[in-house]
Amino acid sequence: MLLDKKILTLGIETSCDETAAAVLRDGREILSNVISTQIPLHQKFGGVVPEIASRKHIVNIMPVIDEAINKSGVQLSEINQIAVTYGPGLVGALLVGVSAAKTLAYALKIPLIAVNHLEGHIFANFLSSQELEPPFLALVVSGGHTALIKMNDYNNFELLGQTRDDAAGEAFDKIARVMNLPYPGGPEIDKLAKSGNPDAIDFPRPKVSDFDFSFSGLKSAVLNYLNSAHMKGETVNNADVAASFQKTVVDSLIEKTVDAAANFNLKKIVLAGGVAANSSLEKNLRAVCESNGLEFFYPSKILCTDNAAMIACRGYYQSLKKDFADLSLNAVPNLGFRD
Amino acid sequence: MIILGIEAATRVASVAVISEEKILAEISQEAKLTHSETLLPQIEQALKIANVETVDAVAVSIGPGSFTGLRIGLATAKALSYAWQTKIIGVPTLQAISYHFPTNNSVVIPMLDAQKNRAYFQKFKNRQPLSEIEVKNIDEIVKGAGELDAEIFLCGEVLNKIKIDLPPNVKIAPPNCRMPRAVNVALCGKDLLDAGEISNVMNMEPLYIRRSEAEELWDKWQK
Repeated sequence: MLLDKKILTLGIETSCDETAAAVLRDGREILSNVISTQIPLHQKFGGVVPEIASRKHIVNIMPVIDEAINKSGVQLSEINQIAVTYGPGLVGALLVGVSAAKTLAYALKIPLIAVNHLEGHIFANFLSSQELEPPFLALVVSGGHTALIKMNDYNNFELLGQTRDDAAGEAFDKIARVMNLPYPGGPEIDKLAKSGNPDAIDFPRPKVSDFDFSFSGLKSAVLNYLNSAHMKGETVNNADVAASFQKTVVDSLIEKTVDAAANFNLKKIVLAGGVAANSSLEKNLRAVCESNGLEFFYPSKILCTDNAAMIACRGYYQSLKKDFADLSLNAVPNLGFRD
Repeated sequence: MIILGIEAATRVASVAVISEEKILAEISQEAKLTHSETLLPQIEQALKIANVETVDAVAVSIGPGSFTGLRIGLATAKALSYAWQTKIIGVPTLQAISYHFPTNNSVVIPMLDAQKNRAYFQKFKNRQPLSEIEVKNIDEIVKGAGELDAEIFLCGEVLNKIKIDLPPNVKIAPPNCRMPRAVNVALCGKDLLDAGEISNVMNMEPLYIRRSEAEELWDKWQK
């Protein structure tokens, strides 16, 4: 009887500028996935303002959780466990979700699970691709992180490499800002790049050993290109700059990924993180995987963005090995990958 | 009627459980620990001491105060109220502090840190406000208090930042009546509840008084 019982996990995510809650049945069945985005609020500032984000989270948190419960069709009292993002992210934003999650777990007398947001992004793929199972290689690309992870099992990872300076997403945002594109800059560059020539400008390819990445040199090269053209009074073809920059980033990400897959003999490649929504990265990585005989996995658009379903999914698998947190759980803004 | 009081607006983390006029439990600490780590364990312990499973209402200090502290207190109070389906009451922090001085014979001015040598403050007599919440330079507040025709008690968290001599009618509150305490929040919450002032768990927010720095700068650039 007990074995037949399905586990209901409530996920809560407030690490940046989305307030999100979701209900998951067992590991992979999404009953509800509610996301309240604050992007319009931050747009005029050209980036996420931490204090404004935190202020929005504290107003949104209960309505978002309530909507996730209502849409799931289950009662709050039926929830078996709560999974919450405790890092990385903005500390003030994280604390709203962590405080609410801990308290709900306490009041409902159910276990609490502390989830690493980056691991959550990888687990979004289990929700999009029901057949996906480890081992595989995950390329995590987000606003704050760029990393290659070898997933041996659901609860066993190895960090193969990561960025030594800027994350890929950071470079996208910075260049978009200098080009006067609206926030968030990543999707805007992606859009603009579609009408540009990716071979128009030869930006330097980042050269880093092993499976690490580096994007600050490339970022500076693009900014220098834009500034010097501006000083000389030359008109710049923004679409060509966007396309050439994007191609350099994508090529660098793909090259390392394919190398790592060959090196560790992994046959499945999983793309994860906010920048996974970039159409060029997805299209090119998919093509390269196909020509190299690798299986390619990629989350649906809604699961690429910050969401709580992926947090609930990660939490569910943590709960299988009894990886629970206690009531003194705190936010860890600079949390990295745990090996 | 059992009320849980939660106070996290300053570096004091305080939790109290009251039953009508009886204070069943209170746990307060002013330590260098983060509220996110201590507040919920304090609630758990206070309810255990009070020997109650749940409460009829949650009263939470809503500010002004530390933005992060307020949000930890509020997120905790909201989640309790939502899970237990109990009433929630937002208690103004300065008014709760004024409950240390339930007297018509003096005026109490609680002051809370508003950064840059400024404080949020408000004047109270016998727990009732005599003025609106304001933000001013700390020494200016003390000077202003000296001009009032009454005995004044200053309390709150910025008393060590007063640089001028105290005017003759102005006194510093004794340590036990200085800082915010959850029992005051619970008692003030009970008075607000009796007056029908209940908050809505779905949309209540802290009483920030100050806007975010980014918004203030933005307005400056627009002018």
